[in-house]
Amino acid sequence: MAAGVPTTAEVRERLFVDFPMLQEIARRRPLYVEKLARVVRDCAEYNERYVLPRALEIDRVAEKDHEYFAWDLVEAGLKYNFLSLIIPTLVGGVGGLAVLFSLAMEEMCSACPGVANIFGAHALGIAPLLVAGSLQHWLTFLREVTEKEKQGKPVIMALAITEPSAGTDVEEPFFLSRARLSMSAKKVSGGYVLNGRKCFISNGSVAKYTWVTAAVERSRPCESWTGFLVDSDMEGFSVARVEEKMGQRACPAAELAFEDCFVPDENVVGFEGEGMQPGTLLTLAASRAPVGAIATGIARGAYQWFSRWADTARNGRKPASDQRVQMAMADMKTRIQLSRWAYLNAALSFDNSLGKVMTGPLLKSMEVLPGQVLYSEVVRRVFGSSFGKRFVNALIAAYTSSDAVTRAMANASMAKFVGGDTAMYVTSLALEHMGTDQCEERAWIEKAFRDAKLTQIYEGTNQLNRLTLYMSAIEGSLKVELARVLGPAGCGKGVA
Amino acid sequence: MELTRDLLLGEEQRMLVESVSGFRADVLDDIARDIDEEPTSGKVADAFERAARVGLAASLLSDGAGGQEMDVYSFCLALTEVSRGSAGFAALLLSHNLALYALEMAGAWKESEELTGGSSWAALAWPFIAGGGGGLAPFVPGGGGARRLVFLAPGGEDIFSVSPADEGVALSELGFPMGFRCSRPAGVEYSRVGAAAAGTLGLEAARQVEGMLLLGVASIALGISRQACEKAYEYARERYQGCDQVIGHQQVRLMLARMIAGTEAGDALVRQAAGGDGSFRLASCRVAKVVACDAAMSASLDGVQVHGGYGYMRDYGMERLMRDAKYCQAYPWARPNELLAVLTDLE
Repeated sequence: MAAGVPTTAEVRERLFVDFPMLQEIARRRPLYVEKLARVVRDCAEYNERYVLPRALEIDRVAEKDHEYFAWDLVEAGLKYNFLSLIIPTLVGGVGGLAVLFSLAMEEMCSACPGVANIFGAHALGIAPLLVAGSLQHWLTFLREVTEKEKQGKPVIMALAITEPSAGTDVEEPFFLSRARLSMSAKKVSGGYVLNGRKCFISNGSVAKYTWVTAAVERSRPCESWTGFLVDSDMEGFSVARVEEKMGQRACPAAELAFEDCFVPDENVVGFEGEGMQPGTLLTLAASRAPVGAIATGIARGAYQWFSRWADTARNGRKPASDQRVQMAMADMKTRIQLSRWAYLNAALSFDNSLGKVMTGPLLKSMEVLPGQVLYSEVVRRVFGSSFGKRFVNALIAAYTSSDAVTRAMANASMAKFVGGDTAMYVTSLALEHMGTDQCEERAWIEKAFRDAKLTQIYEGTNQLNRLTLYMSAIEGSLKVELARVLGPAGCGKGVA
Repeated sequence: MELTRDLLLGEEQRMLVESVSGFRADVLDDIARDIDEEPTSGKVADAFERAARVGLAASLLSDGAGGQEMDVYSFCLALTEVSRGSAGFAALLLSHNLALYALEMAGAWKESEELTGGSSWAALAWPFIAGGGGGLAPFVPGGGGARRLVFLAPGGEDIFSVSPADEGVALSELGFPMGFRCSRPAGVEYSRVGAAAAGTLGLEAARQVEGMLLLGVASIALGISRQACEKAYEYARERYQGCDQVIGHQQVRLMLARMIAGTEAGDALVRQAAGGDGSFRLASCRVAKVVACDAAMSASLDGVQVHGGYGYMRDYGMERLMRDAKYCQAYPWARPNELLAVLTDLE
């Protein structure tokens, strides 16, 4: 809801109110918190200038023309570096981690989760490159994103896990071992040939690069699950269809077809067999806190519109003067606040585990290398080699542990379903109180209600996330296994 | 899936349900998505004409007025079946039938004989909020495209039957409502309540119309619940997760069981509130409405969830159930107000 663009100082104060924990962090790391506030302020400005004036219109246009994509809105986001928020500073990005990105998502989604999810799904496509020891891809693909962003040319990424007959199955090792897979990868000279389909892929129809998972051996899907970076220009890749969604329409979801699509060896992310453990699990550990934030942002936006409705007199009486509305608003505010703390907690546990690799002194020290050296063919080849990948895996193992990232994953699952349920609760309750009152506020909240439902489904249904939490934090049977320095990670529900 | 309601149906009611179910299968199922997306395409009018042929455009009117003289519960059963195909279309039929019913009860039927044939529909503009020498009906299903608009004046004594083109009538179709879309809901302002009424309804009859409206919405909600439940059940049996049917998951079974429980509860309350002799206890109608609509909301949300990503896509029709269910909760009154009115009625 339009409220004027706040200053960075105002945003910082607001963050301290919403997240008292940040006040403590600011005492030790004032520059870090200042950076968070600056990014959130940018998001607020972007909402105010570009999103709020058009979000309802885009929703309606995209209902009729589901392939519609607002490139101009993406281009407007380039000056705020929205495509490089989580890309390491080593290759020209903002260098944000889960906390920064979650706060940005909440802010953006309070205006329009469809538009925000363009950047959210893009970051999701980047995440596997960050967590899977793929430094040579940072120097090539991620650098391309940041360089093109500076030139005003968006390079969008996506992540493709879900298959037409396997959704939940491909997000968790226990289920993957029994999944009905349609995608396959066959090893050939110099690379792999992909065949099959992926569906409901956010940004799938507009992405330049998509991280795609596939089993190299159908009989051993878990052990051979591998991540590939597919360029949309590659022969054999096509967009089969763009889905017609109930909400979040500004961000298109597509079915992708792979027909003898050759992917060279250098586009394998991590080692063969690391697609699930650690690839997918680490990616989801990184991304589910921001999804909790997306849902929290939807709830917050709906709450703000509802507050405006409640404070507007109808027939000489403000709805807010009714006790029923007061109670509802108290419940909404509480749920939103609890969701916030859940996602911040999850994001902090990611940043304090795997995130430390990205901000650690070794990678930081590489920033002093001149560009000719850092981006030279030699350096790229070294990091793309088996030795280079093992070096990064060793780095990850030195900075964090399997237990720490498992905790991060459990917290992220919690944040995800708490947020999704909050978004549905708040939007639904608001509409119940408004009746059929057809006003501007209702139009926004109806959109939020439709948008919110997706947050209970994507990034693993809320049911799967509850199971993940149970298995990882209660039963202890699910553990994230870090890539082994010598040889790939194992696979399986069980523990190393 | 056979629920308790089905076992309790009499022979005539069973035949009615089968007949309306046939109409749904022949007409509505094919166009439900189209009329939701393009309510003005002409397909709604075609479907209305077909509905009239099976007696759904004059369900409540007496035999003498060319109607089916359905009892209230039978009318509810018919609405539930229609709603399984399209809740929006059921809302249009509800609005039309109640408008005609109110006119007949007020002795003003002669004016609107042309409305039973199926070539055009009427809409009940209620609730009607008085103000400034006239008033406003903020949400009128069937308002867009209606030939006649029927108002009950505040207090319910007088009834007005007007054309949208008449002086003092301002009708504005709502641009993009989330639910009941094919009924082309409209906001209607009427500034000539002082003009001659078409007839006199009386307070008791007005309360009866209100009760029937509530039960009608409850029945539409029951259609949503049943449809959500059956579609989710079919999907969960057909879809596999790994080697197991989705329906093998306890969590999914719990969701389905909750849908059945909600539908059963709503069915029972509607049957009870509809009574056998046409007399109403308004509080019972409100309770039935709230329970049935809450069940529809919950069932449609769970139905989408059971379908996963497919449930969110328009092709599967699940998301439409969810959008329509929200309007069942909101129409004619906001849910909390409806609940508060239960106590007021009983007091």
